[in-house]
Amino acid sequence: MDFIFEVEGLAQGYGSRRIISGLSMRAARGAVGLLGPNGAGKTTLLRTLATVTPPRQGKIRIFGQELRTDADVREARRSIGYLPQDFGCHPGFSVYEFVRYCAWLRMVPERTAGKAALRALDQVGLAAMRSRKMKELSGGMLRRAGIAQAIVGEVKLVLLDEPTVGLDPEQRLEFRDLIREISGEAAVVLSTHLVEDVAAACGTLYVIRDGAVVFSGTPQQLTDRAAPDGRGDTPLERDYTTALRSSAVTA
Amino acid sequence: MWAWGQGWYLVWPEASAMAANASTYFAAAILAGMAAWSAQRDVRNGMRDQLTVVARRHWQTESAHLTATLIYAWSGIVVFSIAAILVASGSAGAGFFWPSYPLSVFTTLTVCVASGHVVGRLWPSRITAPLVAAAVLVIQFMTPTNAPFDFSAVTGPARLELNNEALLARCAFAAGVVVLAVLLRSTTAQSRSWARPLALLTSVAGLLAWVTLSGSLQVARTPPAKPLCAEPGAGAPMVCLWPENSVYLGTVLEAARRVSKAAGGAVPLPKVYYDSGLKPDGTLHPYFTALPEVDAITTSMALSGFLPPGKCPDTSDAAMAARYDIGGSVWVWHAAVAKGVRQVGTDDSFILPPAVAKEVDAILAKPMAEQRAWAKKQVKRTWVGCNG
Repeated sequence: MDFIFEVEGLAQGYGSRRIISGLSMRAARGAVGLLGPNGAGKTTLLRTLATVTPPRQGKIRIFGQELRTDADVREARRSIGYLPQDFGCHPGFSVYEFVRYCAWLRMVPERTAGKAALRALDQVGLAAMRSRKMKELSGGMLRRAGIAQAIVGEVKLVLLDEPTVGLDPEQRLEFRDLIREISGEAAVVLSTHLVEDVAAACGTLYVIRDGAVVFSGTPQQLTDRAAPDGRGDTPLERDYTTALRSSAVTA
Repeated sequence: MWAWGQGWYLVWPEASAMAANASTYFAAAILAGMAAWSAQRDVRNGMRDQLTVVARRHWQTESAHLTATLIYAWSGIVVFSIAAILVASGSAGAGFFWPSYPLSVFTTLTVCVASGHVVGRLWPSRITAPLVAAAVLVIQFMTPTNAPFDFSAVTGPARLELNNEALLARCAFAAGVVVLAVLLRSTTAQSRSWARPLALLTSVAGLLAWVTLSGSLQVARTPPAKPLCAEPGAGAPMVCLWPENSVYLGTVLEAARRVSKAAGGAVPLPKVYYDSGLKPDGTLHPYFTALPEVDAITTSMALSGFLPPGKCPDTSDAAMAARYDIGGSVWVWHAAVAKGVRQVGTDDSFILPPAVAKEVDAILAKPMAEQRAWAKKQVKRTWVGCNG
C-alpha cells in the first residue's frame, strides 16, 4: 500500500517539555481521526506533520520521501494542506482573494490558481460568498473558508486541527460529508476530541494519550473492544475512554 | 506650500523638488508606520503557523508583501510628479522635469517603508507602528538641511542640482534596506545562527556609511556657457538668468529698470546682474534671486549690487563690517526708492535696526535731489581708502 505519510519514533516538545515520545503512525488515502484529551499531543503532532516545527527525533516520510533537507520540506509543503486550531486570515481579503492567496503560497501554477480557488470554495459550499470579506463571515463559514485554503490545489495530505469547533449540529453534518468527499482524493488527518465526528467521518482512528498512541484501528474495532465500565453515552465513547485508561493497543 | 501659492513651481527644478517634497511631507512618517503595522499582520491575524508552512520561499512572500506597501508609497510620487509636469509644462523654459528629485524622494520613501517593515517584523506590538512613525517624523525635522545623511532636498533652485554620487549612495542604501527587509525573516528562520542576519546588517551599515561620506545631496551647478542674458534698456545693467528661470525674465528686467532709475547716478551699479550662482567667476555679488515678485528681485539687486570699487585697506572683518555699516543705510534707501516705499520703518519687507530705519525714513522725507546728494556722499564715505 502507498502511504501518504509515515511517522516513526517521533519525539517532539517545546523547551524542556516533551509532548510526544516514540510515536509511530501511518496513513494512506482516506480520513484518519486523531482522538485524545486536551494536552494529549494532537496539535503538536499535526504541527509536526505540517512541518511547522521539525521533529526532535524520529523520521517523517511524506509521499514516501523522508523530510531531511529544506528542499524536501518545501517540496512536501506543496501537497500539504493545514488548518490550524487557531485559524487566522486577513480580514480585509474577500473569501476568493484569501483562498487565491493561499493557492499562490502553495505555488499552485498561476494559470490554474484561480480555478483551483473556485473549486475549493465550491467544495466547502462558499462559492456563492466568494466576494464577501473574510471579516464578515460567521464562525462556521470561517471554518469552511479555512478548510478551503487547506485543500486548494493538488493537496494530498490535509491536516485539520479541531475543525468542528464552533460549528452548529447541521454544519457538523455538512462537514462530515465534506471530509468524506475530500478523503476520496487525499489523506485527511482530523484532530478532535469529539468522538462522534471521527466515528462518522473517519475510516481509521488513532487514540493518543500523553504523546503516545494508545489505540489504532477502525471505529468498529474500537467499538468491538467495548468495555462495560467505560464512561460515555455511546459504545464508541465508552471504548474511547477505555482506550485512554488502558495501555497501548492496536487492533 | 508657500511655493505653490507664489508660482515658484513654474521653474522645472523647483517643480520637481516640490513634487518630491509634497510626496514626503508627513507621508514618509505615515508610510513607515503603515509598513510597521502591515508587517505585523501575519502575527496580528494569527497566521504565523499557516505562513510558516507555505511552499513558497519566505523571501518571495516578504517581497510580495513589501512591494504592495511600497506601491502605496510610490504612487504618491507618481501623482505629484504628474501634477508638477502638468502645472509647469506650460510656462517652464529649457530643461525637462528633473527626475533626480523624484528619484531622491523615491529612495527616501523606500528606506522609510522598508525600515518600518523590518521593525514591524522584529518587534510585533501595538505601539510599534506609532513609534516608528514618530521616530521618522522626529528624524525628518531634526535633520539639518543638506546634512551628509539628509535624504531629501527642501527646495530646487536652478543654481543647485542633486549630487550624483550622493543620489547613487542613497539608491544603494534603499536597495540594501529592501534586501534586509526581504531576507531577514528567512535568514533568522533557516539558519539559527546570527551570522547571516549580522552580515546583512553590516552590509546595510556599510551602505549607510557611503551615504554619509558621499557628500551633500545638493551641490552647486556649473553655470552654462551661454546663460540667458538680456538688456533692460534705459541704461540699466544687463541681467543674466539660468535658462530654467526664463519664465521670470520679464520680472527681472523690470526690477533692473527700477533699480537703475532709483540709483539716478548717485549709487554705482554693476554692468551685469547675475542670477544666483550664475556668475562665471564663481563669486556671488552682484546677484538676484529669481522669484515671481518684482519687489523681491528689486530688493536683492539693490542690496547686492553695491560693491567696493577696488581693494579696501581693511585688516579685519570688524573693520570691513564697520565700513559696510556706514553704507548700509544707502542700500536700504536705494531699495526703498526702487520699490516706491515711502517709509521703511513701517514696511514689512524691511526688517531693520530702529536707528537705520529712522535715518532712512528721514532721508526719504526729503526732496529727491537732496536724497541723491546724501546717497552720493554716503557712497564716498563708505569706500574711502579703497583703490579703483
